[in-house]
Amino acid sequence: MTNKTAEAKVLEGKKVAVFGERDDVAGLAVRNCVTAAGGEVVYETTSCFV
Amino acid sequence: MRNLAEEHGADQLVLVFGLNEPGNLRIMATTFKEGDPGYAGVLGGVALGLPSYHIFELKDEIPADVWEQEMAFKELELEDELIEQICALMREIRER
Amino acid sequence: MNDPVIAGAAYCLAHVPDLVAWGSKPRREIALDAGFEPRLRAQLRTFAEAVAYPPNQTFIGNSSPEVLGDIDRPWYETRQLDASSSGPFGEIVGQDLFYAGLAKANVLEPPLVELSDAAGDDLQAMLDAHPTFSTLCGDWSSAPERRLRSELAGGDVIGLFTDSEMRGVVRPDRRAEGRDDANLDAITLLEALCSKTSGALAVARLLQQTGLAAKQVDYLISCGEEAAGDRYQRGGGGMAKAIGELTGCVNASGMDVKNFCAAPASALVAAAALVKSGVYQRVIVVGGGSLAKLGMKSQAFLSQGIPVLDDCLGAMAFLVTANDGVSPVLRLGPGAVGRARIGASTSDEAIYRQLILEPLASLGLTMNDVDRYAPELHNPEIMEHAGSGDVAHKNYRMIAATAVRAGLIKKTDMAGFTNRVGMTGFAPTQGHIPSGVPYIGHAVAAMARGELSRVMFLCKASLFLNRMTELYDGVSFLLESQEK
Repeated sequence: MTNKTAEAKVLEGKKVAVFGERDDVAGLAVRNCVTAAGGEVVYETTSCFV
Repeated sequence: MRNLAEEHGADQLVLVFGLNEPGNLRIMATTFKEGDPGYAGVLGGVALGLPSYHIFELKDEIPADVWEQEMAFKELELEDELIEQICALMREIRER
Repeated sequence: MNDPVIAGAAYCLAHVPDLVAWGSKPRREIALDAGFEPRLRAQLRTFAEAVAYPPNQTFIGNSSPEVLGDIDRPWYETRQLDASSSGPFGEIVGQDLFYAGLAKANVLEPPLVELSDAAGDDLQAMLDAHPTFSTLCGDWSSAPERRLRSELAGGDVIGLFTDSEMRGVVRPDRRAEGRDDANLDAITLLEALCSKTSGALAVARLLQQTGLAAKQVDYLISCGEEAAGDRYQRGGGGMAKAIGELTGCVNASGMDVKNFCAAPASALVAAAALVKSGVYQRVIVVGGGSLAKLGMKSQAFLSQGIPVLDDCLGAMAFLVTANDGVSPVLRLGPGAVGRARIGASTSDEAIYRQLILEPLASLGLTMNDVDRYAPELHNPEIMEHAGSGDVAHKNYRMIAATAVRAGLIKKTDMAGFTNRVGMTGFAPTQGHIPSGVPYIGHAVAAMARGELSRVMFLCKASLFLNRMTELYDGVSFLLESQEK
């Protein structure tokens, strides 16, 4: 399920905009992952479509 | 997003999605890369060139303990085929 | 066991196609695009179509979630010709009857709702002739249509129409204390009136169903998501008592419980606790419908050329009483009610552990001791067309994932587990309405038939919608059969 390529890291040192969804993956979970990988979250939203 | 791209530089800004509906992912990722497909709204005709990823694609970059805490349950929840479909879709949009 | 029981459940749908344009999404679309309204109008359903719609038949008990799951989609093409607007635990009412109810729900002078002279008598006759709803208490006002039309031209009034014929108007509060208060404009008042009226229909139906006299009700708890009040107290409450007044519950007091989509569960637990402690004996939990959510997914329906399926206000009412030896028990006691602690992780895993595993463990039970789980039961036909996916199914995957993490089943068993303990969603996308509790009526009936012993209701709430927190809430409770 993940890309094992020789690409440079996607997240480290980057500014990240996070789009979460309440019943899928919430913004906070994505944010925690991004921050742990060295990214900086500059925008975050979690939609609730119900 | 346009404001954020201007503020931080489009080459520094990355989008990460936690949405799991392929239809919505396609629309949003396409819009932030190529402009609004309906040529409407703020990004109508404006190609920001921003790359979009789904969090499931980034497992390798995330420390294992954090992934376990935040995402392991999600991996279980989603059908494997859907995870593959999502990853393939995001890759296709980035690479075209 | 001394736990209280749910002695009745009643559900109502008010099919209000001419109010869909006043839902939040349609209003905003119409303001941007004058062509939206005629396109919307062209895709609205008739009353007969809304009645025959299989998820709506399931909502009122004429069909079950199991049967619904076997009907091929698209459900909106099903022609169930013998579908009745009345079911074992619910009613579907038409727009004109609802307008009559709105007029009776008005308490102010000058009235917030006024029918036209031409239509008023007919509409009220419809209400008075209905075997369930003739009990609504209140006076109504009417005025010549000419006068109402000239008022409508003034721009701050909402016209009530059916098939392009005027039935009445809804006004802002124009008295000195209400003037210039955005919280008391016609649309905000109509939202509160729709919640009040639809809630009252559900309570009236509940009283008729259970045989309880209105004057025997001790307490009402409202769990709707409207905010009614003026500039100084915007969401002050008082809806439960307003509904109680409209339905003749003269000996009852009441309160409103606010907890977004988990409010029905919070309200039921509060009701049960009040009864178990002896403070009250017969408590009604009521949830009125949401005008703001009508047509929420209309843009998707229009672009796909299918009928506007979110055209009904949903409402529900439940009776909680002391243990009668017959009805299903709502389990109380330390640890029995699932909750989401403020300091806990907001990950789904943490929330489901607190909602499912912890209360079951407190009661000496495991997930295998629960016959059915009832999470958010949104109609998947609406949710999928809107691009949100099958919300009920997603919740069942989370429940199954919880069972895997608890070591009860294997990942490969998840689909089978979901089939066994899950069901198809069927409730309208009315916020707090679809949150687990649409299954209560079905559960009570199935338990009476000896088919089920224990059901867990799981209600989650996106508290972050208040912009005051990033938290979720979750409330779960168990319903257990007393049938041996």
